[in-house]
Amino acid sequence: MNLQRRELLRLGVSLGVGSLLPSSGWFRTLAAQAADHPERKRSCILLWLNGGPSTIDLWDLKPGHDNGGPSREIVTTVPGLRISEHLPTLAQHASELAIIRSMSTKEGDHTRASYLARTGNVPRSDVHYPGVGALVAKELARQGSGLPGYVSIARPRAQAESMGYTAGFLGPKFSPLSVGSEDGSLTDLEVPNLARPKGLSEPEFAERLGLLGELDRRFATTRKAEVMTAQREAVDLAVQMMHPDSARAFDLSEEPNTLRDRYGRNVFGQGCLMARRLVERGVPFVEVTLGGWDTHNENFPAVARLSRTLDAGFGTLLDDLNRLGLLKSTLIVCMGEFGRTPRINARGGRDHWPGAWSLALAGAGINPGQVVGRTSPDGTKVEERPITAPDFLATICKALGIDHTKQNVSESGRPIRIVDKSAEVIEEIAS
Amino acid sequence: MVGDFVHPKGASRKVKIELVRAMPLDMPRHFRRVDWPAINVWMLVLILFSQTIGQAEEDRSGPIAKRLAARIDEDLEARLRVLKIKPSPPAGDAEFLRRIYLDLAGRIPTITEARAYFDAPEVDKRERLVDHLLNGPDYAWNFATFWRKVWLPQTEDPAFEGQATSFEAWLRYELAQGTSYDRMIVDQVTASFRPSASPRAGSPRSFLLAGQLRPETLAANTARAFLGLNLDCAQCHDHPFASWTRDDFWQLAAFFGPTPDGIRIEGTERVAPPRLLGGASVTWPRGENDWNGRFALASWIVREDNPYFARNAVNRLWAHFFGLGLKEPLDDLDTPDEMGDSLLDDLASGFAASRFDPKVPIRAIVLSQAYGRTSGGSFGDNQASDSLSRMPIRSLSGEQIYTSLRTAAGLSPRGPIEEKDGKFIALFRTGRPNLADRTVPQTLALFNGSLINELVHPDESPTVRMASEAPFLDGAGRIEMLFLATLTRPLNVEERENLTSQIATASAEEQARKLGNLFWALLNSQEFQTNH
Repeated sequence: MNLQRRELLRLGVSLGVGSLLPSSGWFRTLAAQAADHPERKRSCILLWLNGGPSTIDLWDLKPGHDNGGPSREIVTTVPGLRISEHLPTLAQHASELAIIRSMSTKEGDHTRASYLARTGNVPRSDVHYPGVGALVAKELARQGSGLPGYVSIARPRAQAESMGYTAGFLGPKFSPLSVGSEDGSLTDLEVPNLARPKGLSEPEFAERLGLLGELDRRFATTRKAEVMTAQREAVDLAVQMMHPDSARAFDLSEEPNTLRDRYGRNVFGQGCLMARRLVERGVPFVEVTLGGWDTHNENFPAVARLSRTLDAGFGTLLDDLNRLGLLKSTLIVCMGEFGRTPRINARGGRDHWPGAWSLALAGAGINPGQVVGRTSPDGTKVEERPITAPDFLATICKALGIDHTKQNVSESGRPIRIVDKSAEVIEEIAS
Repeated sequence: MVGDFVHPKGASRKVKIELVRAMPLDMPRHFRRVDWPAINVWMLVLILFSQTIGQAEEDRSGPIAKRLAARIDEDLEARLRVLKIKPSPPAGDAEFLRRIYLDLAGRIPTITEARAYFDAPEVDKRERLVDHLLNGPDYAWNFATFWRKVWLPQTEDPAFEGQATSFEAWLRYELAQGTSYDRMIVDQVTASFRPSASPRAGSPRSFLLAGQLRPETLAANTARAFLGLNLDCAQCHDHPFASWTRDDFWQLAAFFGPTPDGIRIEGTERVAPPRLLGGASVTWPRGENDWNGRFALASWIVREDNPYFARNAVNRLWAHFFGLGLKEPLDDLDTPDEMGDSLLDDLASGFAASRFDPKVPIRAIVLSQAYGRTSGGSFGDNQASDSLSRMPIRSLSGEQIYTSLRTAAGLSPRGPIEEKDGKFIALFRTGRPNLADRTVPQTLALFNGSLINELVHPDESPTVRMASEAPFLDGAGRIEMLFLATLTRPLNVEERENLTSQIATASAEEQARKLGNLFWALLNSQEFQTNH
């Protein structure tokens, strides 16, 4: 039995969330109508290849050169475009992809490079820059979706905030809801404590919330503080997320087994499926992390294995979003913090290489079926169209319909643009 | 020669003792042969000297703290006069009691502790309470956690969390012993790189391990944790704002190297010799111990004329009690600031004058009128947020929430911490716990998590069982017991009317259920979940 709507509304009023509560069947309506709606707000799915993916073995191969190693290319549906043989599904989708082969950044440390890629800034002690997930969540927030604006699936356990998985000065309202972890298991792929404790009935939970609302209301008559606002907002969103319509977004058992198989029965694959369910319900930003790319040793077998996981998850996601008509409103970004040394080291590995690397985009707001930029024949240098982290973030904003020059206010009251003003949108990609 | 360098002020009976213990094992033959007598004499002088001072300490720390408390109020009142803001009135007993327990003991008071305080007739009962708490076991627990987060912030990250337990065990022991602040720093900086066979649990060596035993990481951590200086940028290039250069950074890192020959600057062929920030000269002790350079560095860090050492400690404590430091950011003490400097300097001098007794600045702050003001009142009047005209409302750390939940439920505050308890606490980790915001996963854990739902069950919570079963309580009395246990205050009139009519009229079984639900709501309330 679901919590009666009338009861929820009563609670909502007492907690100050009345207007935010979803009405019955609201989500289905949204999913069905909104996919076709020209005004549908866009969403972004970031597939984060954590550890520095060897993009010279994914998107920008160098067959015939010593630096190319044993990696082989295959043809794609775009004439002249070739990518790794371990990405066969994506090769079939090449006409939906835009590949950038000229990313060029300056941070070679995992944490700092991740922070740069995600925030567009190098770490500083006095400003806590928000990551792209929080920035997008804020700009594309949907009223009353009953879900957070930024969901991070399979986030690394350590150092995530220093890596830019953070809302920074935008505050907890936009900080990521974390589901599962990079090195976790499939059973972790859920929102902890989303269900009522066993044996507690809905009316009884409602009674608890009613008492809580009353206590907080009275406390707020004599006290005022930011932390109280933050706590109230977290309580409101937690109550909404416990509603069955919201909780279902995280329940993959509703999906057919065959589809789940195609995504891949691993954390990344199932994470991609969860991302689709969340985007379908209007969540503006979802990221799915696939770790293991820090291949200092034995690069090639590891990249081949990871590529197959990536190909199944990313490829099936494209199919699935297309099927639901959601690809035109969903931008997919597939990237890591930097690339890897073109020269193969003595251990058959590749080391960190921020100077020249690649990434891939698909979906909303981009011109697909093209390659931007070029690296030298040995892969070490960008020869054409170097692109910085801020340029790329500005391009993501453009593709999502966000004005990247808009300003937020930092913790010290300073206006700070979404992306630094030095950034230039890559017009070939998003125009 | 060892006797040449300035000895760490007050450091050092323990350092000396370690020196003695380590020497036959670690020191090369020529060092032992040449310098033993000199060291012995030097040590003897110091041991006697520190004992003399040690006896005087008890008598001096109280007056210093009081003088500093008055200095705080004088400074803050002058600021409020300039801003034309009227300070809020003092907090009542209940408000003050809850606040001081959370800040000094790391938890809320029990019902018994609360009643005892409310009933105490003495006019100076706040002072007595502060003494009581600073001499009790909760002080060591709470401040071991506090200083661990200041000195080893890395331990809040899962990669280093293993070090937290060992480090806090060591710190608890030192804090309970009344070890001086400077000695705790010296012990960390000069800990042995090699594991020791010490029978005691815990070790200051965690500081080295959290710095991964790497000179450059240890130098950055030392500067940030003990001096309030952020040299991170200077590791790779000259600091953009402050005057620190890349050479300054690597010269500092050189003290963590094995020899006085210096250390190669990463990414270059240049070698940086050991040299102190600001350029003061230092003599590297002879011998081939891995801690020689660190000993020289530690001696300089804790010197009374080091402009950063005492100010950093005091500023961190200020931020613990008031949310923000006198200077922000906490690790950028070298940026000039027109506000706050003279008060910070005076507190730092007082701290040094107390021979770095960590309880002195604590006592000074909590006995100030500023700390004792109410956090409530009317709003909308002209308030500068950092004026401290009223007590700021702060967030709680995971440890404060956990121990307070247990205290409220009537359990021992720090029971055996099982894995799930550790996970609960870890959910609330953040860089600045008392400024932390609230996330949805945290709220969901407080709503539906196993810990909280055990604590509201009459079988697990003595408080709930007592409130629902005690034959001597009437309906209002049962409710009031839950309020005292959680919010440390009696019911107000409105609550008494509303809640009594809801709960007192129900059947016994129904009443127990309703009291459990009320207890859940109290634990989740903002009044419980903040320090106000």
